[in-house]
Amino acid sequence: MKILLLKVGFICLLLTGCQATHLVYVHTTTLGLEVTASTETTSGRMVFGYDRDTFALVPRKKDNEDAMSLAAISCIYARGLNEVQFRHFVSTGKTAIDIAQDREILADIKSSIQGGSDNCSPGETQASNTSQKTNDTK
Amino acid sequence: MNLSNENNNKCLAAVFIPALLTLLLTTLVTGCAINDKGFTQLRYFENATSYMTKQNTWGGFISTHSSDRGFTLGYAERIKVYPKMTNNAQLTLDQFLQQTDNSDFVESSTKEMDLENLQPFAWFEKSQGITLHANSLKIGLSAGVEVRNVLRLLPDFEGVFIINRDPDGSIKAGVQGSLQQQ
Repeated sequence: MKILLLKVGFICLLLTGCQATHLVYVHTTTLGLEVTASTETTSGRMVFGYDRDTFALVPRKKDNEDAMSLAAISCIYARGLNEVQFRHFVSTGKTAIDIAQDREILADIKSSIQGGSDNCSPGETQASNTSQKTNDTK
Repeated sequence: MNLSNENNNKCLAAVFIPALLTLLLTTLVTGCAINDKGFTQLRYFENATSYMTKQNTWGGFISTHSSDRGFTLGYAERIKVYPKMTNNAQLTLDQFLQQTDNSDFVESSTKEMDLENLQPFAWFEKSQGITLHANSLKIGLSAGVEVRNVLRLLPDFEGVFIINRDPDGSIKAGVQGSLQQQ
């Protein structure tokens, strides 16, 4: 199995190199068996049973340059396999720079992404399992 | 030690071979699909700034699109959101948020859309069965149930993108090239 993973990782390395090529937000849930390698990075993943994974990748614009300008607010809520809330606001470039400098606008966006609620959970009676993130990268 | 390994291999074979045969039989009974052709249900939607496709497939499903390229044996559900890339620079952020909230997806005719050359900005996948992945995010194999929610933008994208998917399955999305500064 290790040899298989190494081979898959090597193929991935040949295909894509080491850096993320896109701005990516992922939320994934697996129940069963999974043996995969990421094509955005050089990482591999082996799951047997139940696993949940949430991550973001912010690429550089070019080699040896800063990460792309980004102002983003995310609200992800998950309970089980089917009850998933996936809400994102993403702005890039000049718009991101303007938004990141204005706290009121950021608060408005956060409120909109959370559906007017104070937190990320979709219903008051439901259990809270929230993840919020604000990225301001220049 | 060798005897133990042989027993393990026999146990694995006893579980996986019938499972594989059952899935292959299911494929033969239910049929198979390649992209939008074959035994599949594909519906098209659009709102003010985005297109959306919803696809359900039972049996074997081969996708050649970069977002979900691979093969699924079992059940596959794919929802993809594509940008129209409208550039209404007169819109303020508040107006854009309001527009996104008010602009529900409406089902459209298949012939009105050609999304072959577009890359989705976001997609939602559910696979039950065996899946071979060779897509823009991962390569490998999975068996069982897999749910994946993805937002993926090009590094040269300049603008604003919103995607809201709620637990009841409703989806709202909005894209703008630029916004008026408030």
